[in-house]
Amino acid sequence: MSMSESTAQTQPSRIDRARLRYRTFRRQWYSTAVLLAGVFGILLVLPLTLNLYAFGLSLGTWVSVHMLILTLVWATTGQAWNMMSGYTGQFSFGHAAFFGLGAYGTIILLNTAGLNPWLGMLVGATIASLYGLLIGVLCFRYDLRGHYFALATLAFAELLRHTFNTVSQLGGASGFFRPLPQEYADGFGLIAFQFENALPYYYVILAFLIVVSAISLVIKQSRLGLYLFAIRENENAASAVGIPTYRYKLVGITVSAFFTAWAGAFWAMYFNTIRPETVYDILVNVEVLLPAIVGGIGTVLGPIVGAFLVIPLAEIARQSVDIAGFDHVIYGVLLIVIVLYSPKGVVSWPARLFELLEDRGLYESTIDDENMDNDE
Amino acid sequence: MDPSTALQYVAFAILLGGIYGLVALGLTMIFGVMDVINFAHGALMVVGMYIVWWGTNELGLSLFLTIPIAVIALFVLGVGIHLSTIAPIIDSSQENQLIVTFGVLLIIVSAIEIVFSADPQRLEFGLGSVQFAGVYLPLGQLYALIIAVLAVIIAWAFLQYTQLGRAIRGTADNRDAAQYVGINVPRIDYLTFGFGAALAGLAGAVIPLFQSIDPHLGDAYLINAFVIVVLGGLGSFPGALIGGMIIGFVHVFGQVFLPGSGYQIAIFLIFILVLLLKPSGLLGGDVHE
Amino acid sequence: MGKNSNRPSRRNFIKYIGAAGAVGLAGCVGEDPGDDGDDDSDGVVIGSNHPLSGDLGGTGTRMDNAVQLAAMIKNEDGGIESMDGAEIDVISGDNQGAQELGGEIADELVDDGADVLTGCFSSPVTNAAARAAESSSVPMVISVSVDDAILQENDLNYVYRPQPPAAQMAIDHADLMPAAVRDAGHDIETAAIYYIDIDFGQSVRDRLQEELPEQDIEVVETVSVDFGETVDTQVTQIQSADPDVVIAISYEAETVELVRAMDNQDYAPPFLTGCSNEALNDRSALESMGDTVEGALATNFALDPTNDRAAEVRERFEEEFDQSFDANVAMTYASTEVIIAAIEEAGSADPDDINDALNDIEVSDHIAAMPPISFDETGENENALAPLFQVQDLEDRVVAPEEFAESEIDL
Repeated sequence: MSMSESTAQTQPSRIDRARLRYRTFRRQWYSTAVLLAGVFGILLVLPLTLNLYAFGLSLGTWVSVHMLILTLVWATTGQAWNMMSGYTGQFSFGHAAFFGLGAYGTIILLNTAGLNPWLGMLVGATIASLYGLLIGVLCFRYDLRGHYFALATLAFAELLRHTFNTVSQLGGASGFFRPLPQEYADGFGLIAFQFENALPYYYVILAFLIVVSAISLVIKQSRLGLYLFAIRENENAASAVGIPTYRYKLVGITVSAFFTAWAGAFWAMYFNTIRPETVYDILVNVEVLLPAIVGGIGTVLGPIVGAFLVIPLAEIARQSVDIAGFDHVIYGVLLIVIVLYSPKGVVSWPARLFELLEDRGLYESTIDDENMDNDE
Repeated sequence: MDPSTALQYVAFAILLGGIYGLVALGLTMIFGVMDVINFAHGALMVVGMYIVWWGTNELGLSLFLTIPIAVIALFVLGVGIHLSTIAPIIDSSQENQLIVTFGVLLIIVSAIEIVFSADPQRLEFGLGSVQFAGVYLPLGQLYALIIAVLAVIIAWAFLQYTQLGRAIRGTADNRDAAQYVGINVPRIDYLTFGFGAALAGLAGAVIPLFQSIDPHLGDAYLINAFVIVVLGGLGSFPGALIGGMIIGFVHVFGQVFLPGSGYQIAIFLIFILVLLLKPSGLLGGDVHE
Repeated sequence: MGKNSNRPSRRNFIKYIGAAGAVGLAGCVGEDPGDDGDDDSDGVVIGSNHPLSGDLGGTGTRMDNAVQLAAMIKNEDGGIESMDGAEIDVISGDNQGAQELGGEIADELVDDGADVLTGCFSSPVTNAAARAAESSSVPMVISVSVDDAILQENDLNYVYRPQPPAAQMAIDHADLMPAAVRDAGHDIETAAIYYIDIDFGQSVRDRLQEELPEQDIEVVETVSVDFGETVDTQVTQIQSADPDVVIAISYEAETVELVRAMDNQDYAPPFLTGCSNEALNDRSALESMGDTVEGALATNFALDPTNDRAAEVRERFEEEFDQSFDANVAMTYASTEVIIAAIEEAGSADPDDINDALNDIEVSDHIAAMPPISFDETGENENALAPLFQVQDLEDRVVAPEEFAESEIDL
């Protein structure tokens, strides 16, 4: 033991040299952007590889384009949620409100005014932002924090669910049907925001995710991000040094609501019907934030990694067992295990792996582990 | 509205309020002492419902037996859940606790669904109702109200007058200080979670007396239970009962005067107002963070 | 999504991995991957896409069993004659009542070799599944799904619906029920509507509010119920409006709650009826509700009581699965009969041939109380009918229209 220690001290092992190099890389301002670019590069070609075979197997055996699309939808919402709740620490449990407003805004404007869904999406997102602003002004003005804020956001979301369910002008429980593309555009295509098969939808939602991630990254690395994180760490202290926390929290919720609504608008155009029970459901509040929590709160890569862990896991659980409902048991167990054993999210796994190996005496580091790999 | 009809609505509001209060008791205990939002609360209620339904219908046991069994079983289950899932992350962020209790909810509801199917079930006998001063009182709800009031009194007395109760209250006020004065906070936590689950079990146990049950029935009660907990003030048992009564009245009279599910909109508006103006609850003093 | 793909189908493959232990928990329950009839080259495969878990799981499982039973009975009778006695296989997928899974399950079933599909109960799920069926060019016959818009707002060539949708159901109720009551010499001028506050409750409510005044019936009270609610308040509301008839539109549990609350307040309206109400066709539910529902009138798709085979099917189902046989089960069974008739007509397991057959088919030998089933260009059944029946001795008996009546109305 001691011998290997002394040799290691003088000569860093190859692994440690790689880790050192990675650490140096991660300290560059552009490193997350480079990693993101890599991830998006993979995602660009991913659906095309579904039908490639190696040893008689293919990715398509595991997932469908449809599931990839859903994964990206929740990755996008996770990213948007993260911009507010992850960065500022104001835990929202009511993002279904924004998701639903995006979906309803798009479809209602399309149905009643014939407004192109892309414009409808922007209007819907603006409405969601305003609703977010309203929630923010009320809650932050009265200084709701922690559980109280989470419950308030939930109440604001549930309020919309019941309102849309009750008011027949808003579609009632039957909601709305997406019109056929001929009715407002020249048939299927990008302008109509409707396609005949799934692949173009995949690239649209991927584009959304790229935009949201890029903005998320820019915010994080800007002065604004610094302030937002200061609020998360210690709001009173941030306020004491003169950061207008109220205003920045409002910025957070408004931006977050805006992009969550994009995912809702996409949902409305991808599925051909929306209802209060599908877009404002209580479960939507959970699905929105799950990728960020599992992946790593406050990180830009986290929501993407988290979504690609959570949704395929649910899929595999569902497809593995024939007892209806048993997949939910497995899924529940996995959620608990992930949170219990990895409260900082999947992005902390590489660092945790080395820690674990060291604890077991299987590996000895020659570099100090302080602030290693775990921040972006 | 003629007076006798109005009186009938008031009676229903009080009965419903009692059930709402009972449902909120366990939630307010766990929320108040441990600062954990227990999303599995509704699922724990469902376990209580099925124990009573199964024991009474299938095994032919008396309700006087099955209801206590449900309470005890839920205490044990609650302690088990706490030790395996909540205790390790009690100091972790609230979102992690939320996900964990959500996971517990998924497991419990799905397991019940697999075992008993999602079909609604009901006790084979109805309890009927009594008429009093021109007002009908369904006996199932009446018993539930009596049990709710008794549970509040017993739980309140337990917290006020026993040593364990005082330790629990101390922990609720200030976890760190409790630790300093020698209270075994982890032990208080698992007992609290156990008591909270037992109260959920009690609430679930009385529901089959007046309603069909199914594995998802807990969801219908859970959200309003959160509202009641905040309305009544965290950790306050009398507050839960009063909060339950308020929601009972809003529910019944909202049903009468508003279209569709308008009463639910009214409940959330009241909830938001209380959160903004008096987050410590209508009975509470200062908010403790 | 090629329908005759050679690659291992997704579900089976993952199931295999699951059984092999990748998902250790699942190991003990994973199905033996060998017995999924995938490559039955001489058989025909029906894909059944229903909610087997989740809050609709109880009804969905029974509907799935109805599909299984129809195939089982056909196979016992010698299989598909026009294909030299080819057997019918049924493969099932669990859509959990989730919109996201409607299309996914449809695709999986097609992947697993389904030549024709059926489903899905919940309307948004049916919607998604119908679109998936359309895009893989595999015909789908809807088992139960009431939303008018599914076929009427889509341009679908592969999707068919034998049952009457929500609007039709309300129209039939407003047509048949008051007429029957008046013929029996009773007055009926006012109605209260009790509905479950979800899509189907609201759409039937809206249509009834339009149709009832045409029959000179004024709607004097409308009350809603949510899942998991007790309904004492609603019954007091109805009672103070004092209508001639209370029309209940709900699933089983909410109707049971209605009757319980009526009993608790000693309230009995002159007439209790149901529209698209599954509880009043469910004999085990009728038994537990007891005397209060005796004599109740209801409109729903139902078994054809003049058809002996229908009674046999009901008995066989109860015996085989030990579950109650409600209207949804009956309708699903009838839809599967339509599928089987189309396969017989096509003489082929090719989805396009089956689809062509469905287009022109007229199925007169089915167990539902409606005229021969044939589809118009949107895919709706031109002869869809929801008959009126009455609860007599706690059993549902069809009383109108005359051609299906098994019993005289008794008020």
